[in-house]
Amino acid sequence: MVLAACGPKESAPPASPGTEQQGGTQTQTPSTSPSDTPSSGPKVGGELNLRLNQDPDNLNPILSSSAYGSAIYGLVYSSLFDFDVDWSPKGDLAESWDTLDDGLTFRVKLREGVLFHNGEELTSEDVVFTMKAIKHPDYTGPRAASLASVEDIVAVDRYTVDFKLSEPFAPIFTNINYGILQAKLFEGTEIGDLENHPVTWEPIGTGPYKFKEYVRGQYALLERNPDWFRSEEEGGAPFIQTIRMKVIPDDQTALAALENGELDVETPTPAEVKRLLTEYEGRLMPVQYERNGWGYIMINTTKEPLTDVRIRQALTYALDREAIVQGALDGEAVVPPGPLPPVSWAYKPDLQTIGYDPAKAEQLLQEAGFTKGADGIYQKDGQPLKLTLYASSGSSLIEALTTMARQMWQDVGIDVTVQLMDFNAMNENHLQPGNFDMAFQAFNLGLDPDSLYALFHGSLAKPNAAGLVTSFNRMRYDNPEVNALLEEGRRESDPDKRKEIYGEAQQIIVNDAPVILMYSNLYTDFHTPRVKGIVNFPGAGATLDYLYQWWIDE
Amino acid sequence: MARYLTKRILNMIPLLFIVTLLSFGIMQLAPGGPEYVILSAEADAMSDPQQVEALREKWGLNDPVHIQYFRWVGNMLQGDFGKSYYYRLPVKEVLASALPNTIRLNFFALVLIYAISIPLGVISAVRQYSKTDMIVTATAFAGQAAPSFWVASLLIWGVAMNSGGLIPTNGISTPGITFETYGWLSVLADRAKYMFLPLIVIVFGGLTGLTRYMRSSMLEVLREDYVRTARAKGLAEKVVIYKHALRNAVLPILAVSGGLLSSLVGGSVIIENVFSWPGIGRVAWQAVNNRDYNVSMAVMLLSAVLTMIGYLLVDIAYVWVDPRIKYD
Repeated sequence: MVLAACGPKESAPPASPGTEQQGGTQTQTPSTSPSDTPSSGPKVGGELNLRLNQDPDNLNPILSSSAYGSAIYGLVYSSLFDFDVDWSPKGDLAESWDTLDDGLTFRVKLREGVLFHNGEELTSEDVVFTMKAIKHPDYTGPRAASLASVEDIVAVDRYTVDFKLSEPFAPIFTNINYGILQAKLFEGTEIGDLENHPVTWEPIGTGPYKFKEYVRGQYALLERNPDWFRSEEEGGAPFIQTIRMKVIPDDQTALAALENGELDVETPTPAEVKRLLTEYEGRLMPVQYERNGWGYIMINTTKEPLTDVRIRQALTYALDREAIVQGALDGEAVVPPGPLPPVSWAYKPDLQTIGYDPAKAEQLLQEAGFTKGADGIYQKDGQPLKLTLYASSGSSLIEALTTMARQMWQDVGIDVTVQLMDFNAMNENHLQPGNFDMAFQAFNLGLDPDSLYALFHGSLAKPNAAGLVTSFNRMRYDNPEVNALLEEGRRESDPDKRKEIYGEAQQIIVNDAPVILMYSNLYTDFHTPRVKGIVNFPGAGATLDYLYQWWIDE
Repeated sequence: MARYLTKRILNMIPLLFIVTLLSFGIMQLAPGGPEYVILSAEADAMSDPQQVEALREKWGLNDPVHIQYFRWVGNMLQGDFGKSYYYRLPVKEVLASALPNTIRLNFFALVLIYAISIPLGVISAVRQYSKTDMIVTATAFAGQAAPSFWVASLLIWGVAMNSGGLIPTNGISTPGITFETYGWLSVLADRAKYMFLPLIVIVFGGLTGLTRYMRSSMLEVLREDYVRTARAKGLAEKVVIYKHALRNAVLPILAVSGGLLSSLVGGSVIIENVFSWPGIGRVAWQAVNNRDYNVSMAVMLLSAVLTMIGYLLVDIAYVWVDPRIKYD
């Protein structure tokens, strides 16, 4: 089961980093670039047909936890910030922002004259209401942890909001970036009762599209908001008159609908990409991009003999990941150079990585006190180096990947058993209780390098009272140096200094080898040629965040 | 008869108890819960066990399973099926939007299945080992053997994609075509073209069983003495078959029709998924995936109750079809 079904096209807003996936999707190499040369300028009109894989869980921007909800409410509501194609924040509702009091106050100045779809003006009270609702003890949605570092939200005047922080927090842009609700509509509604409010299914926001209709199981309909507050500066955007999102659960049916012209944008299953590129050349336009995340093998750093960093490094040196990407993913992926992708501003270009070097792997094993036995397997004190790798069953990619990895480890003298099982069962019975050596999973990063915190900070490695680690740091990796850097990266607001801090953290994480980063997929979205102006957002492709720039040329 | 009915209905109670108990237990065995599905959307939320606990506490998921079960039974008996954890809506509302769609599709499917398979079975029996019999038998077995998702894909790619836009690949109706804006004729035509492919898949897959039953039951009846007598009297073959034989041959068909009622509302996960038909099968499938316990339980209960009622109706219908049968 995919926990957070995140079609790259319907990527949750940048505000939610670190969605976890089962891993195991193959994709296609970019060979052609999107040929989006507009013949004439954008014009208003037309209907766009999009796919929803499932019904949305609800349409409230602070309660919904599905990509299908966010596909709809993301267009209806505005949040404080948007993200540019270089992943830096820019103002959406926010006109300007500033850090005061040694970083303990984050002040946001709102645009004036922003109107909700019902004609009322958005003010600081609405921002305060939305954020306080998330922090309310009775709140039942998934966003509360993002606002953990925000102690209070204060309306300074009609258009100014202060976020009072318990400590300086640089990645705050993504953490407070939720659709702003209209406070007035919720007068007399208990926060614990928010989900029963009619607005949960009939959203009223300030975004480029107005909510028109949602028919459960069938479709959602959105209509162009001609009074959008950014319309003028965006050259009259949004352009497309109506957006129809059809609920199509089956991938094959969606593919047929795309080829039949019933859908305008779709991310086909990786196996279909090559065929579509040739068979539909000129009739379907590809948008190709690298996934902002990776499939990785986590190593339990608290289990003998994996507590020894040399063993973990040896496991990494032993793998020819390029060969695995070629063999298991048909070359439709890249080997991640480090925990952060090259497109991120925080990427460290001179990162010293661990490449394929079997001799070095054996040398490290010997340094760790292992000797090669008669059967070719290293052993220490009569104990052979036997490890188990857990992975989800049911994916041919994962099967191929683990089989190849197992053979490569075998070649240097490490005996690894591969155990494929149900994703949830693996999580509950092995990963959370720490009852494993290695496991394969996938992780999606956010736009801020702070995404590394959720995976690598030591405070998240501690088991709870039941002995379980429910965070993503199931490697139970705890390096005080890395912890300090990840904390510093949150405190420092100067981007240059942050880049240096995260560069250092990336290097230590690579050296400590708590994870083996296996691949970042190359994804391809396709769209019909009548849709113009599609923005290829690094890591998210034809994201709906930029739909306001799209237009239709019939 | 009244005593018999009372007894039968009372017998249903322990049976329903067992069915719901089993479903409830099995559901709890699946790893992960609804709070996990909702919170795992955000990495930060999952790293905060307190939040997970708060939701479990709020929803009463931390109580012992038997307490949860009896709470559910208590509410259910008062007509309260609880809330969907995922959609945050009353379960009734979630089901109510899907139920009519499933019934609409399955009603036509069942009518067609019976209307086609009974005559086919009769013809096969009357002309046993003829070419017609061979063709009917072969088609029936093909329908049974071909997986429905495969037939469905074949129809989408082969028929819908080549129909020049006449037959849609997915959905249930063209938005905007309603009784108010268009005449009833266009509405009817519109709904029919969406139903065309799913109907073919269901009917094709459902023919086999009934046709074979009808054939063998008819063959048996045709060997009976009273059929020979009827023929000896010099009655026309048509009268022999359709008046004397058919009525008796239909009895066993009635026996296998007890599941009819539940299959009318049960829906099919595969067909509803492939054709994007917004029915109850899809709701049930999603509920299982999302660990939406209350929705799963409601669907399970619905189909259990309807199965039981279905078989009860069959037993009552026996009396009506066959005057020899009496319940005391």
